[in-house]
Amino acid sequence: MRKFAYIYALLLPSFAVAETLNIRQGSVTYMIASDSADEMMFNDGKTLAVGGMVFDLTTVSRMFVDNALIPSEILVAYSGSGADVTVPVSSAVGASVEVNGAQVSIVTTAPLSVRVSGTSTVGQFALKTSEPVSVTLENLVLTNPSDAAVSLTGSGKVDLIISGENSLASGSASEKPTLRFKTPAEISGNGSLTVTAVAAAEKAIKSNDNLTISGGEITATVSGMALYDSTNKKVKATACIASDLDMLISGGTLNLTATGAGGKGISADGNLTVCGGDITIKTSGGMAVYSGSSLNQNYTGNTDRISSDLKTSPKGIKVDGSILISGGNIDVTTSGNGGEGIESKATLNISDGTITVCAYDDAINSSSHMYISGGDITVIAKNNDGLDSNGNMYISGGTIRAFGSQAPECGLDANEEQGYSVIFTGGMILGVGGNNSVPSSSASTQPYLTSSISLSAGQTLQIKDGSEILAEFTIPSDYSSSGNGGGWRPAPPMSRMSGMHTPPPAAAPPVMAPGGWGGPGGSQGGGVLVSLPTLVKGKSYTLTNGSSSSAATAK
Amino acid sequence: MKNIVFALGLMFTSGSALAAEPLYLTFRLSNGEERSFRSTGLSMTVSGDMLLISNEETQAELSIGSLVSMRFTEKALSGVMEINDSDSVTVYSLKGEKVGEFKTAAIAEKTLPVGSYILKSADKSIKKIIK
Repeated sequence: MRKFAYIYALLLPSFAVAETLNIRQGSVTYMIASDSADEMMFNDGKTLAVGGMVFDLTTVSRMFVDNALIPSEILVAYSGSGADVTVPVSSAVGASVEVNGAQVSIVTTAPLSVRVSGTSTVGQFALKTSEPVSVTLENLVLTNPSDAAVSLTGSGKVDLIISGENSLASGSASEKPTLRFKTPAEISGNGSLTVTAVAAAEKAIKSNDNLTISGGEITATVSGMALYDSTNKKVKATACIASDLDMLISGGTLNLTATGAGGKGISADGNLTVCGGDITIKTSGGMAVYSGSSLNQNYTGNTDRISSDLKTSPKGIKVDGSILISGGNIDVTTSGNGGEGIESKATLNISDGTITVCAYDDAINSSSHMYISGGDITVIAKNNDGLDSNGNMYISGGTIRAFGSQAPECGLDANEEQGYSVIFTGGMILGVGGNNSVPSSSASTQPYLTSSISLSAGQTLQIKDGSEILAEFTIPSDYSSSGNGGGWRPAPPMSRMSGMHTPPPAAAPPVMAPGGWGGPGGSQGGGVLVSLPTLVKGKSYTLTNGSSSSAATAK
Repeated sequence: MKNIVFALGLMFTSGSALAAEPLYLTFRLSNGEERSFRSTGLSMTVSGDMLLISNEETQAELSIGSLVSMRFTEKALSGVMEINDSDSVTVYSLKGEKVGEFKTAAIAEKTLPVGSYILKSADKSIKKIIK
């Protein structure tokens, strides 16, 4: 037996233990593996070069060797009024780290990964990069009373990955967004991120560059009021997510709430593309207008002669460029005065997705042409148009239920005053409101019906060809045909005959009448407009709402 | 015999059977000398112009100005830093109290009771654990 033990001892292979050299500078610990440290050079007794990084020995509080595992990314751990940072030297060359209390700042000229966690009510995580970086927020609870809680700047793309449950907040004294991007960025991950901003005109999430959201469950809340910027002579408002350039939403869940005057859910100065994700937006603030020397936080007067710089309206989604929606689920509610649902200052294009809007003002508005080729769209405008295009409105597909207010507002509104029109070439279309636009161009090839049949929430509108049901539209529960000036209801015959355009008193009950409110000019359709691919021009159809029916001929 | 071969095979393939060799952190000095310290538990702090080095067995000071480089080595290139056999030493407790003076470190180690001490010669200080 002793012989075997001897043989074993002779043959037993040996190996050197991989150890870790730790270099501690204040709250930062740099780690390098013994097998990758190579020769570490001292320079004139002042600095030590390790793995491509140079340390000022006067700032090194301690160096030690242990068996600790080296992380693959920089670790930032907040705790109270401080933060500890662990830097793997081999994967952080080009990065400099500074920690001052709970203020952590990283500047890098090389790609790297950072994982940020812990809790602080006086903290900030700031990163400036010229190269692509990955920043993972993992169970981070970070509040900054006077500045951004997380600030990501530079020119390299930042991948912000959400892991676990995270919460970012800023104080009432903050003039900065709670989560700030000044570099191209993408938010992704499987965790949750709650971002709160309370200061006037503050943004919860703000990007000065292009911003993509592809994952994560993001809850952003802004509660500040509007603010008059006396320097720029402009009224500014809050936004849950804002971008100075383009924004792309391809995934994730967004729950956005803005309660202050002029507050917006999403605001993009460039273009917005939505091709995925679940987006829920609620705004409850009213319109803010600066007049004289005061800012009215709930202006209800006429705004026609007020400069756009001196007013701001609440909006679910406001985009200066174009909006392209090709997927995802969007649900917008605006309840404050002047609140529009979705607005593009250029063109709006919907090819897929599910969109539901219940708005105080226009539900969906575009300053230029509107294109709808797909998707499931239900919009209710309490005091204005359901779908409002200031150019042509091209509908070639999709299912559309658009409810607008009384004349001169409507469910479907193209800018007929400027010679534009609705152009139907496909789609299942229902427009309900005072003066639905009707096609005036030969380019519109899909026939349509108009009717003044009354509709109310919960009913199902059927369009029949004899006994065959061609289509059914369910009237959404948010639709009101007579309440608070919202919705459409047919006019009394006397009004129609006299050509009056004034809506009837809100308290008057809906009545069944031939013809709805006539609009200015003669091209508008009745209170109900339907267009289906199966309609044949000149043929008569029946519209029923369960208890009433009305005949109409396709045009 | 088959069993023995099998057992040896297991020993070779099992990680637990591998013998771990400690590393050394070896400093190269401007005079060409090299000094190695067992890296396990090694701690270094900067105090003025000196680098204070310690682990469970050793305590030493090196002038930072004399340091050229340091690196991990699998062997002690100059041997683990020890006090020369011919040097007399003064022994202190870890609290800094003087315990005694001895003609050599070897005599001190044989004389001292079990415990941890600082052995100081004219040019070196080491920590010694007497077991």
